[in-house]
Amino acid sequence: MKRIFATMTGVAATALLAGGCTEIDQTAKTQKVYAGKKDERPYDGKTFGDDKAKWQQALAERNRGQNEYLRTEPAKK
Amino acid sequence: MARMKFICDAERCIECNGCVTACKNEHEVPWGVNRRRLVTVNDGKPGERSISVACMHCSDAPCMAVCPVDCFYKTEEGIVLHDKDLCIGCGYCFYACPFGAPQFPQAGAFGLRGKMDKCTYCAGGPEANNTAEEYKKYGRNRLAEGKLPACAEMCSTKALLAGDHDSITSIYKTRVSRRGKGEEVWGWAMAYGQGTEKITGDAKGGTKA
Amino acid sequence: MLLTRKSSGVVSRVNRALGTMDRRAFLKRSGLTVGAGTFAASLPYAMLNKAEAASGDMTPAPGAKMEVKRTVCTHCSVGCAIDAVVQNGVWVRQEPVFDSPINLGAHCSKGAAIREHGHGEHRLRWPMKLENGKYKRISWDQMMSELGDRMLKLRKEAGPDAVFWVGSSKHNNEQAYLLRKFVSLWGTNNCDHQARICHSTTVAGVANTWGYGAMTNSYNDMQNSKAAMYIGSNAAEAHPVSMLHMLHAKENGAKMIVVDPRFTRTAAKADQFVRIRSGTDIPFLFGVLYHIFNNGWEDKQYLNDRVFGMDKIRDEVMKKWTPKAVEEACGVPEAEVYKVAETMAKNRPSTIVWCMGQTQHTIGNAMVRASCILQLALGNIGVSGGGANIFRGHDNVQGATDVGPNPDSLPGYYGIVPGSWAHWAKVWNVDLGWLKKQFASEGMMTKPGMTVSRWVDGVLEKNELIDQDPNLKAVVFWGHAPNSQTRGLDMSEALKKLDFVVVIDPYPSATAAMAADVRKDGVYLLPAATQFECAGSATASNRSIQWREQVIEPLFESRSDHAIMYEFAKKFGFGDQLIGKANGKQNIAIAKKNGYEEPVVEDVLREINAGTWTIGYTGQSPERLKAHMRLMQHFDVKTLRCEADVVDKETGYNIKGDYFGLPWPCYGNDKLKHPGSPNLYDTSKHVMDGGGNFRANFGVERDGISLLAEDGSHSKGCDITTGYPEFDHVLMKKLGWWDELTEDEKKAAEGKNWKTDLSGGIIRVAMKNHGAHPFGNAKARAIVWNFPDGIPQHREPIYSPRPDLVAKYPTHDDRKAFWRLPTLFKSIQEKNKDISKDFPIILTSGRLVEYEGGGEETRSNPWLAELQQENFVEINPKDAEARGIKNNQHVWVKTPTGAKIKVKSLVTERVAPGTSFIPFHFSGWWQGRDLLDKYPEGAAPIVRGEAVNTATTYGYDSVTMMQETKTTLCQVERA
Repeated sequence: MKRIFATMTGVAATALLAGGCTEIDQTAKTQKVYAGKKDERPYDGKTFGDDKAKWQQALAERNRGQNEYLRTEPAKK
Repeated sequence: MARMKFICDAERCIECNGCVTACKNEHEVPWGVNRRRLVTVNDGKPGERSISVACMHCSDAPCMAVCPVDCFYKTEEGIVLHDKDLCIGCGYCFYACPFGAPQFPQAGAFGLRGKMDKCTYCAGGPEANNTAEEYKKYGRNRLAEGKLPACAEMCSTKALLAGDHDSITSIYKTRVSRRGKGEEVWGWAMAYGQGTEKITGDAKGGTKA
Repeated sequence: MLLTRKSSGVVSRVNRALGTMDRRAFLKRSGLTVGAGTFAASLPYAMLNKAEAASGDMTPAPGAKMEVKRTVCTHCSVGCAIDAVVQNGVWVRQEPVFDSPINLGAHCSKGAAIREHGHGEHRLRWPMKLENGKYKRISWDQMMSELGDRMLKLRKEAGPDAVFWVGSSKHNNEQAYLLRKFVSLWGTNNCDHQARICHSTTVAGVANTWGYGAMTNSYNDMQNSKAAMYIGSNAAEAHPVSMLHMLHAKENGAKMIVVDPRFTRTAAKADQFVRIRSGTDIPFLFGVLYHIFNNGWEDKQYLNDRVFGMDKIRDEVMKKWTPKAVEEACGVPEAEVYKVAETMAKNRPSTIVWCMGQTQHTIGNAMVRASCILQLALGNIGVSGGGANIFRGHDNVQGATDVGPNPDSLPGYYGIVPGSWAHWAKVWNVDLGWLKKQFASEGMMTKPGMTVSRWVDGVLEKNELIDQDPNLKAVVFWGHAPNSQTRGLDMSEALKKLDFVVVIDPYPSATAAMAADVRKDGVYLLPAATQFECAGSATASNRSIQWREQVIEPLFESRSDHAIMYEFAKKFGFGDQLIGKANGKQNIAIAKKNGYEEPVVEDVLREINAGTWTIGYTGQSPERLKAHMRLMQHFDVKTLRCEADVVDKETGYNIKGDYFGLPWPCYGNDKLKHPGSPNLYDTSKHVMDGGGNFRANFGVERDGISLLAEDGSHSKGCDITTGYPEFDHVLMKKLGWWDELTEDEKKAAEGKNWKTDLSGGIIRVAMKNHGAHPFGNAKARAIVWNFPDGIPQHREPIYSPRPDLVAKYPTHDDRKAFWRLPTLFKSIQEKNKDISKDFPIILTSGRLVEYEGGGEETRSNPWLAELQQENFVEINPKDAEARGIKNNQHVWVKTPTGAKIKVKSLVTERVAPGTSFIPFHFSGWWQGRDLLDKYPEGAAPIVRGEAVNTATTYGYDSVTMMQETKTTLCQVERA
């Protein structure tokens, strides 16, 4: 981990020299472009019929399953 | 838009490996490939804590930065996925990843020889949702079924949380306020940038690894 | 760690980043060669091919028939619900059941890997027999005919007591019950199951203290605790999902204490960890009690009203267990003990949790009673949030104990006395006269059988010293591992000496390999179906009963256990008796399967309902249980109760008022609609709301002191506001309640008590009309005078590291005929009193989260096996250094039996200097030798290792024959 941070700091320092006094972003920007196949969005297709809200609702429902307080303290429901 | 994240609550994690086998089961991940695993500090001593680790789906993912063939992409929800058809199995991503997430199967149970394999947040990959092709290369796409990652859904103590940022931080906040401690979230600063390691409060204690 | 493919350099990088190496890192690293070399190439293909071949495609094809079957995990007693997704008969997925009030969707590694049972790559596929040292496939017909004839011949020549039947806690209730009946019809009491070596001391100790031998409260109820003390329980590994409830409670302020010789993963979560020397629970518990009495923290009113004998306990504790004596015995300084006492006293309700750490000792029965006494002193029993939360092991060990194959009782703890036989013969629709003739004699019918912990001695002991005519000549392992029993070397001798060995199991288990190692023939293997291949009910530790739907058809040629029982019964000439077919009546219907017949499980449960009045297994009809499984989400997580009107669509049954799974006792027949009992002995509730009080089971007075509860102490709303004895027809008449029975009920109840009245009328009138408890209202007994040590006494283990304390706290005297066998205590302890010179390290054993029991099943599951690839011994750095042992080396662990086992060293402070720990789930190696070639081809588990019990020593509990596995001695040497 430390090694990675060291590398990043190095990149930032070089940028600072080149830019003189100009204030610039201190994190390394990855200007990379994905070269692979395009993926479908999770709510594309027959299950959610491109209805993003419906999909988000489904996930929110699943999230409730991870919060046992909703069962132990039903008042919070 | 929802930003999907993982939180592992070290106060709750009992290192039972349920997340590990849930993942193996759901995706039929072969022997020797571990999309998720447990890391324990101070094993057998007071202060022993465990954390479940997989791909954190970083905001500024180092794997993406170093990939020579640009096979990585990030979904609208912030999930980092990759195209196995493009991957050349070079292993740079493994060296870049602070979490040791990328795995390299010996042979082709997941498609072609030596392609990198990692946690997909149960979101499959660049094939049509819930098709045989997607399953064979990337495992199941639970997200497209409206479900969350199997590891988190089955966690024995609900230590491992998955979901969009707001939902899981709200669950975590409740716990932190009840405990009055432990606001640090392991791995968050590393994955999602400085300033995100604490979810709430200024209480003492915590689990920073 | 993670990177099985990577070079060790990569592993060390991750380790460096985290600054440590944990147990898994150690194991993964050591597993590099095994995992990558042997399996990585072949296994994934095998797995995928099998699944795909079966299903065509792992993803749901459009229009494919998808079914969801609700089942329950079979790997521990928590009872985690699972939704199994089945496509074209193949189990393709599993989904969490968030609705379950017990596990709320959560699983440990075993539960999350349960679907592998649908693959079963390492199962026994067809019947096999050992011939010239090799296992050979035979047909079911040949098996039933050849083995059946052989058993009948043995029965004729040597008598029914020559066979020992080892049943299983992994059978469902119906199978366990049917097996007890089967063994009775065969004509012996020589049967047992895992409970003997798991919680027999608890069941005996606890039942004799207050009435029932079971966990008093529930995992869920721990959410209501303000403090919890785990003593001899590593719940984080043995009952992981129970930790969901505990950690929730802790988050909300509950204090957690762990007392153990090891700093376990449970201890890692505790507020206070106390390290005791293995086997010294009584000094510690009485040390805690000392501070409770000393500070006046005991619940005086409660003790006066509801407890017998605490004054004598107090005298004993104050005199004998001073802080100095406590520290000398268990090694814990006064301040730590005081802190525990204070936490438990000032944070009530406080609960206590114990498991094998307390039970598996020669004085296990006394240790568990010391725990009971502590809780009684604090007034914690019969209180939500309090209780004795005794976590059982296997998924149905509670149920198998309640209604299954026990050598000293019939289903429902009806003792093997003539009255009980008459009761059950009637329920079974079996002629009592015929049944008596099945036994060697009527004397043998009422004599407790041998125990699974001692079957080896039943084979090897001199015939004139055993308390039955023949020695054991055959053993049937029906769902039980051999490596969970101690004294492996002797077991090997016994396996050699037997006429023949029968193994009925989905996994042939280590028995097949161990037997083939010493025999050329005379071993029969029968492939049994798992609980996912049949339906039936299982009782979780909290006494809730859950119904499993059948997920898939039996794999390969396997058959369900109850089908195998029925086939054997027909062969042995008591097929009709097994299903209660006589006089134009038939209790249990028969279903035709492919080439064989199977008793209908619902009917078996109805028969259980018809006879098991003692512990209230009468109200849990299949219909009620199934409705609960469909409506799980309506039960409250903290109380387990359904408060609203909810009607089950399929049965029309309204679950309002029920507790989830109708935790026994659920008294009366299902029409009484008793809701089940969430917390036992709880006087704050009406008996028809699951309330109760301590049981009147030990007479009405002792030494001139009344054993009944004092005035004013009774369950809520009871018409009798003082203590009273159990109900029978005489008491009913005296109270003037007799006429409240219907005419039919009167006929059935005349001359009977509440346990034998098959109409349930006595129970109905007492409970519903008068709020009275059918088993009476009495005091709990702090002194169990019918046990060897009425007041629990500390006695050093048979193999003790402390000769000075052996002199001070010696063990019991030897016994001549105890469960049909001579049993040694003092003579062995005396002989070995200085053995710690040569074997200076305490050896204790326990569980790993990834594996269960003997481990053959879980070690056959690649998703689990990958996580624990070798057996190991935990040894303290100090002891390791003194022996020149480094971490992760092969070492020999040697014990006084002369056995030596080869395991990897794990150098860790988890154990104290002078203590070592080995998990007990491994088998398949024998003193350094891999037995792979002794297994039937293709049926060896993926991971094999040395069984700790190959090396464990002699020592048995003075009441129940529990084996002493938690404390013995060893030496560790470099290999």
